[in-house]
Amino acid sequence: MSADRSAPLLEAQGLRRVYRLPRRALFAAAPRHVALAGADFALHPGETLGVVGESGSGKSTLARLCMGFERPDAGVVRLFGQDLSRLSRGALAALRPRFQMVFQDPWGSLDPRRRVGWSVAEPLLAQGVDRAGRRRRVDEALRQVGLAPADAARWPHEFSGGQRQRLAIARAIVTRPALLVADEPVSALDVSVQAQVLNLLMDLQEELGLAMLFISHDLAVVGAVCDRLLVMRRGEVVESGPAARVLSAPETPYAAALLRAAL
Amino acid sequence: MLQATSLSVRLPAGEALRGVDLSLAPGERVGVVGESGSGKSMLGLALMGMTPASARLSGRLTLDGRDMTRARERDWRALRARRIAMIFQEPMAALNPLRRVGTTVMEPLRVRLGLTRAEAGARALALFNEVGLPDPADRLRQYPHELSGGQRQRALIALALACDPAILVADEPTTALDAEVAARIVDLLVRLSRDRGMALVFISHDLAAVARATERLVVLYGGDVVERGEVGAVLADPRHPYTRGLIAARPRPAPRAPGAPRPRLAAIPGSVPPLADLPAGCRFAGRCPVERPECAARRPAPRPTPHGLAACHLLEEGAP
Repeated sequence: MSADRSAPLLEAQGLRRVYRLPRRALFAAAPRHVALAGADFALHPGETLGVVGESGSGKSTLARLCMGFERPDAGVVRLFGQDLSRLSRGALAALRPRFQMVFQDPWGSLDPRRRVGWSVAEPLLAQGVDRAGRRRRVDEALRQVGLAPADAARWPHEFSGGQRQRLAIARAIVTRPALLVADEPVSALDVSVQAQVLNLLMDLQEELGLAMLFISHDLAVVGAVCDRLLVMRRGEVVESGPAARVLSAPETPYAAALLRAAL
Repeated sequence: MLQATSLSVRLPAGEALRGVDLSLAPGERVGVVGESGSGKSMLGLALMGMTPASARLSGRLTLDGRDMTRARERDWRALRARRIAMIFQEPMAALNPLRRVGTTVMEPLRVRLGLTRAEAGARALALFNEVGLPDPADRLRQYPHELSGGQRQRALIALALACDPAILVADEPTTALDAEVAARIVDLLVRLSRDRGMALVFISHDLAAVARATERLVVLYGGDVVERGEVGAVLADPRHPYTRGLIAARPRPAPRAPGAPRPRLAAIPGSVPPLADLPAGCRFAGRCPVERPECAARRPAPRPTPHGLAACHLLEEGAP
């Protein structure tokens, strides 16, 4: 892949994250949960990297660290060549338009008490885009996700689940990011609508040259959209490689077991 | 054993089920597939006599030859658990978090079957063994939060089996679980159905899970049975445009040559409309790729296919 020769957009080295659990007894040490035990990967421009694993494998923790929502206990996340943990709050905010996230539940991205145009435009407010500019960019983003500019005046509850996920994607691309982190973006959707949203993500990726970190427990879904895969288990990357290879000839027993279990 | 004939459920918002036929023989495993809004959960609830108070049933539902269509709650209570039992998607919600799981499983044994505490304890232990819970004696003393998702679902299956039901209705029993755990739960349900000669109604949006769990398939869309037949045959050679669309839309691995665009998935346009907005004729009208002008107004009758039935106007002309 030609993308592999370019410098990585997002790079993780030795990422480790440990959560402290509630203390069980007064003088006992608080138990710890190692959510990430040292993960490495690199994502190149225009590439889709799938992260698969069962619940508790650390894939969502990985997404939060890459978004700078949390800091790693060890290791580095380098985004556009900059170490995320060393960035000041302001510097991180300035970088934010270039990397956005889509969540499993689109309600998390839409304010139920505001017209959807407002929610889609919100990331632009922090950037200081003026009213006319926001309007233009929202129109553009709505068209890109297959909705109409007039939809901006409607309320979130007027849309179906698939349309709400389109709105969440519009909000994520309105700042014209280079990187999209998608955490189980189609898991809550009906099968017939799931394919629409996956196609949309592939369209946007080609049109906008987006790189995507695509997190999912569904091997069929990652197989359909991803170039390379990371297979995670208990906070560790147990296998990685081209998606077609991992899905057809897994090298580790765990990846093979995951594949067999994929009904 | 169980027979639904032209069973309809009308809710204030619209018709959730429209003339569903379903029959179950002892030990038979039937899959009900549909997306949200298809009426699949309403069908499960109707089979259990648990439709909401605002729902109006019509048609006919018989259980062991008894007409249950207008049965009262008291009559249902005599049959539930003993003849027909149900498990749900979210096992945490169905287990009392403040009680040990053993206590929850022993309750129907003591209340319904009148067993003593010791007898019920022994029986619960045997049930936990049967559903494959490791160290069953320890599990009985634990609280729901101490069990994993898969173990909780197993505990719930044990609870559903407590009174030896002839029919088990499983509504999305694997949806909240990881793939590996889900596959094991499916295999467990199949084994239990075989060992006990217990009929299984497996309700799911997941075609692959249904294919693994059942012998016969019923595809629901907008409250209508659009296609039915032997599960493998229907999945290999679907005849209804909706069934075809569902199977074609499933994501599959698609390697991309360097620089080449990635193949797109065969999506079904639009989304399932809310009950009140369903077309009066074929429910799939508005999303169907081979729709004719008359489809939205006229309801198609089920027609025989090589492996069952399908309800589509185009089949009437022998088209697809």
